[in-house]
Amino acid sequence: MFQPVFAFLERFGNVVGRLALSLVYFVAVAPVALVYKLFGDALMIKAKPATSYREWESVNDTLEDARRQD
Amino acid sequence: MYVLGLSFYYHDGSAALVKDGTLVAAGEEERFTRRKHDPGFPAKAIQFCLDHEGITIDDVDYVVFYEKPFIKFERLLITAFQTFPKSLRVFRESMLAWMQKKLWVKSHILEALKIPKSKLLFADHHMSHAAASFFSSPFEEAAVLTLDGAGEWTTSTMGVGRGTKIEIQKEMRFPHSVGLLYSAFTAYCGFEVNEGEYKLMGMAPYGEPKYVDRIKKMIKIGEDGSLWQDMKYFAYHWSATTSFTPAFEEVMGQPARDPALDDKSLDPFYCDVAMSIQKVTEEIVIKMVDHLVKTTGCKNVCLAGGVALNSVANGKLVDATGAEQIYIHPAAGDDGGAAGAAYWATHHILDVPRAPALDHAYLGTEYSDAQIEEFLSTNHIAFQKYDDDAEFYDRVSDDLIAGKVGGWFRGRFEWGPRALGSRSIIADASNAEMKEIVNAKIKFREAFRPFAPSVLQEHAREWFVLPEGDECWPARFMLYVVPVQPDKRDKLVAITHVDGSGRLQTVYADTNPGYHAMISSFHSKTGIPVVLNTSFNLKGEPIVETPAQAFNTFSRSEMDVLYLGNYVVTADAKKIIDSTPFMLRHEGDRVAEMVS
Ligand SMILES: [Fe+2]
Repeated sequence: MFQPVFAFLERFGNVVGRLALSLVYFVAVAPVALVYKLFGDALMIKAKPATSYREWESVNDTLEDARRQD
Repeated sequence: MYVLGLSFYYHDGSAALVKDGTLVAAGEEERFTRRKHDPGFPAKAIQFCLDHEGITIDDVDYVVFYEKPFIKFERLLITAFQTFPKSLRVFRESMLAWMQKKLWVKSHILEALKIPKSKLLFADHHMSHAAASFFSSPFEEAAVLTLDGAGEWTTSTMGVGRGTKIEIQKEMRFPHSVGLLYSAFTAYCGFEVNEGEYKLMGMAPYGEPKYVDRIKKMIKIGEDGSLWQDMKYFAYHWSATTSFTPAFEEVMGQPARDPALDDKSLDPFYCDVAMSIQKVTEEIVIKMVDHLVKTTGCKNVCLAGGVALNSVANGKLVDATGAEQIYIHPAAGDDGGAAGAAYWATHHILDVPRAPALDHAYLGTEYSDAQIEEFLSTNHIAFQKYDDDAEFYDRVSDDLIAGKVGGWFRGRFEWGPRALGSRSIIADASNAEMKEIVNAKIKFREAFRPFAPSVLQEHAREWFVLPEGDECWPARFMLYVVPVQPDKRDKLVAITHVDGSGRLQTVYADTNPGYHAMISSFHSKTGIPVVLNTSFNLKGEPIVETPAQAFNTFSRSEMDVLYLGNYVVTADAKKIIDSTPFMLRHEGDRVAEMVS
């Protein structure tokens, strides 16, 4: 019964995926992004610092740390 | 203890095996799959590493991936937020790639290798770079500088390595990136990103640094070499297809060069641009190294990351900074991240003592005489075998003197992007016609790109102006461009670039005895201890790995003679072995792939 659905997805999966992701972008990403653009500047686009080097933050010095993907 | 390092899903998937602190086997997946810059899971490279040691995956203590996938994913999301709504396309493209593959790195590795979760570790991308260089270096203590396009968030780090530990102190973050700045100019000058950077570097000496001021309108360089880019000129953080904006073209004064021209012309304006961005890159790297030496007090410096492949900048560091010795891992880019990840777990995490420095790059597969002979006989290819090594080297040097171009296949293939006398095309560097012949008939590539010289280490200083004392590590791996001695330039016409420089490789008898002996034979007859050396591949083809691939590439080109170990095959035996896969790929990465 799902055969036609699979066939459709196989053929048009990427298009469907892109459409879905566009929807996510404008529905889910948009509100966060609009707020973020007002207050956040992780990319240092607005800032013009004397140095763009900053403290290294990552802590990855033990086996336990190393098993994490973040 | 065995630790296997992996890098993949970006560019040049690779595997590297470290045994008790020594890198014993390493290779890029492209050499095995024959797909240039193959980014896929390096199944074949892994199998080679295990086979080389005669072990199975169960004998491996840890498997280490070279970056932290979730941090990179976080960067993509935050970048999409901050560049909304321009980032729609890049968001879509990179999310598709992440959902289909990149988010599942952990399960892919666990499934493919059937290892328990506890054995799988993740290093930070720039720590992998730093570890590749520092832990393979001869230094007990060194300053470490990494520079690339982008890792997770990081685009550059400064730190110190001591014994089995690396302390990273500072980082620069995306989108401010020396690698991505250079790539933006690569694209502007009409070349593919992540592919054409060498072309830009090769084009630079034909120009003048006329546009440094224009470039500096778009960036700010700190006293410590740190880079801040005014992102209204750049687009790689939000565009899936372009690295720079129309405002960039306005500042530079001309539109981007047509990519269709590829490397078939040397437009003066773009040569000047190439020289200008080269000078800016050098200024940045020099300031960074100088700052690092001053703040750490270490005069030994390890460099790593894709920008460390800028051998022109590397060659200037010792003279222009407080650094006294430089070390660069032969695979300085993300392929080397696999080795770095394995080194990092071995030393930094598990505290295993360090092994002697990596003084060669011969870490790939090799083929025995029996295997070579079997290939030639099975395929009915006529050959001449020399049982006596001296007679063989004598034959090769005679061929070169007679103006022949040879394919040289001997020993284990090289780790990293350079051919260093295991999978090389060789010719007489003093023959003025060789540059054109090898470019046009054999490599099928642009005529302006220079070839590299392999020089006997004992004679290197008579022929080249080397910046350092006794050891000159980067020259072992062809990572220094230095001046050819002025009185020798007319003797090395085929490898001396238009500005009098050469990207030399010093050849050592203890690490590549066959290559050294062959050049020695050439030296004894000509007084020239140098041969022209370029990688054994056609344009767009990965460097050859097997005798069959070497024979096919020989047959497809106008090379005169092929040396497989001590077996000599001449041009009249050329034919194509159809069962040997052959693929050409010329294009570089799309911008979306470059940053994600
Ligand atoms: Fe990198």
